[in-house]
Amino acid sequence: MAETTKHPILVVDDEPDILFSLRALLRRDFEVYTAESGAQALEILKQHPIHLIMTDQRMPEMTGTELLTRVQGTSSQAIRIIFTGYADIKAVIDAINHGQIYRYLTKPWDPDELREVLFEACQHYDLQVAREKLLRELRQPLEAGMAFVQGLREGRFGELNPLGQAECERVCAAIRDLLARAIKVEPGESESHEHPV
Amino acid sequence: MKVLLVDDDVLTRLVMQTHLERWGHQVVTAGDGAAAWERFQVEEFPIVISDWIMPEIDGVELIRRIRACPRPGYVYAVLVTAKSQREDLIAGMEAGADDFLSKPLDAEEFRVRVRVGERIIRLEQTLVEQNRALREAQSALIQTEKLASLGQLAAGLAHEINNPIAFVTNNLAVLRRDMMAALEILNLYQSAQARLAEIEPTLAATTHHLAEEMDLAFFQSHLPRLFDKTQAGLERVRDIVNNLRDFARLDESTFKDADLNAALDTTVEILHHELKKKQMHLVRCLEELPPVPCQAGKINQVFLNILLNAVQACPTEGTIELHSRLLPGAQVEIVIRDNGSGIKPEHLEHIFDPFFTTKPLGEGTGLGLSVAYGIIKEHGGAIEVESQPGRGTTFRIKLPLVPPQATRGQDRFGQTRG
Ligand SMILES: Nc1ncnc2c1ncn2[C@@H]1O[C@H](COP(=O)(O)OP(=O)(O)OP(=O)(O)O)[C@@H](O)[C@H]1O
Ligand SMILES: [Mg+2]
Repeated sequence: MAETTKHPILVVDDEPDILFSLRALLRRDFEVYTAESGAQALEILKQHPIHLIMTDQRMPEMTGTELLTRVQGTSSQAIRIIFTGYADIKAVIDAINHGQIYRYLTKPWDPDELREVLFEACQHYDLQVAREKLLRELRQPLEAGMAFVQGLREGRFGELNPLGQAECERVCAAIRDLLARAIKVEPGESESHEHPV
Repeated sequence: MKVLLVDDDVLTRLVMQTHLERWGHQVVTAGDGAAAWERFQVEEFPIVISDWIMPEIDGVELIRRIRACPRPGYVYAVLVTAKSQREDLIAGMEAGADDFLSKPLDAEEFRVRVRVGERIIRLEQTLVEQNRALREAQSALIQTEKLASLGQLAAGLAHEINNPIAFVTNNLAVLRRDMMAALEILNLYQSAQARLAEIEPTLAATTHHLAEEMDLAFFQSHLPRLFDKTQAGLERVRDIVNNLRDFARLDESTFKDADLNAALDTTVEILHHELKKKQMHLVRCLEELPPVPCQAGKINQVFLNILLNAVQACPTEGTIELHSRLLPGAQVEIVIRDNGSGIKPEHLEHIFDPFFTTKPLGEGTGLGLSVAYGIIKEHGGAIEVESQPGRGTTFRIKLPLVPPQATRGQDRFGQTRG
């Protein structure tokens, strides 16, 4: 990825020392935003196009998994990562199983591993965005193609033999299928992805 | 009740024995004080009835010896005498006699007086039993408190230390990365030192002087090691915290499947310092085990108590062996063996008693093994010991793969502590 387009990421932890430290580690590779609470994090998400959100599990008021569940309900497409101490592992496993989390890291984390995970997650984000863009771009030509095939079927360009009719049906179904997927990823309609853990 | 009957007169002895046996007592007789004393030393008699006047060891002397002999239970001592002088009675009581029978014997009086003795012995036995139960309850209480506080401490520690470890480790990584980059820049500047000396001689002299003063070259070459060592130290702290947390397993006060080999390893890690201090050898023969349903925190406590005793019993460079294997009949066996001081045969039956210790005051509470015993019993298992003084001691723990019904599965979805 080019130096100039660092991914904007959001780090959430109630301990300022942790935020300070993570910002120092990540500032060279990412555009780092930080929040000291779940509420603050949601506020930042509204104002900035965040690609990745990474939160501590154990926080007063709103826990990490609670925050990520809320994020999942917004239009944000940000990849969700949690880091946690040992004792919270059960809540985190539940969250993973409900598809709310892309990855979890244990605290204390290994700095190199953390960077790798974040890069990988951002790549995942890029792929996801590229896929959606492609599908969106396909929509217009697909609709044009659909109109044409429909015209063919209705005999607007001359009578079709039965073989041609059947072929038209087939192509129609295929295009309809693709269109359905393109519509599904229209921005605003959040789709629940299945992420590998 | 078992009665030791001493009289040098055969006829009196026979009459008394007949009476006693008719009343349901088990009677052992002796013809003189010396024979009685010998018999008393090898057998337990709650009641002793002795003639006063006998050659060599008389009744008073016999009772004096009995009183001086440390025995767990009380001995009810009766003197049989023709004497009735006040001074004589006082001498007898001072020696430790509980009662007197006067000759010639009246059968009815004899019966009643022996009954009194019997009643006192029974009272004393109930008292001992109650006392033992009380001590057991007390030790159970101390055990749970000990466990709870250890667990709480460990969890508190783990939580408190985890965040600082996290950011210090991270800061170190940042420092290393940025410091190395900064040094690279510095090196580039230094390559222009000659040019600088021409243009800015004073500045060049100052930087040169400062660099010499701090020995910049040394610093540069040692910096990587400095970082490595610091990082290794942090990793050790992290491992210690992990171990403590594994050890306490706070979230698991109920039965859950656990890897006992891993539990042994964790406990050994906890004792790492102790083992190293004594340069102990550790032989580890652990066979693969199926998961064992247990309260992991408590089982760890058992391993710790036994291992700690083993370390304490061993000289420097002693050896501790750990074995584990699957037994037929859905059981696993853990063996912990040391080549330390061993346990004296007369101590062997007491080592699981609460408060039994051979360690100096302040060093042992004598609770380690009684706690271990209680926990293993609670798990439906067994704990055995073999020992040879001077050679070493072996503890053998067996745990069933199916735990006792009552305690199983009350809470298999135990809440993790927040
Ligand atoms: N491995 C061993 N080798 C030799 N003696 C042992 C061994 N294990 C136990 N003992 C004997 O058993 C006694 C009781 O052990 P236990 O662990 O119950 O109490 P303790 O070690 O004396 O005190 P605490 O464990 O409360 O600090 C010890 O004092 C010791 O005499
Ligand atoms: Mg002990």
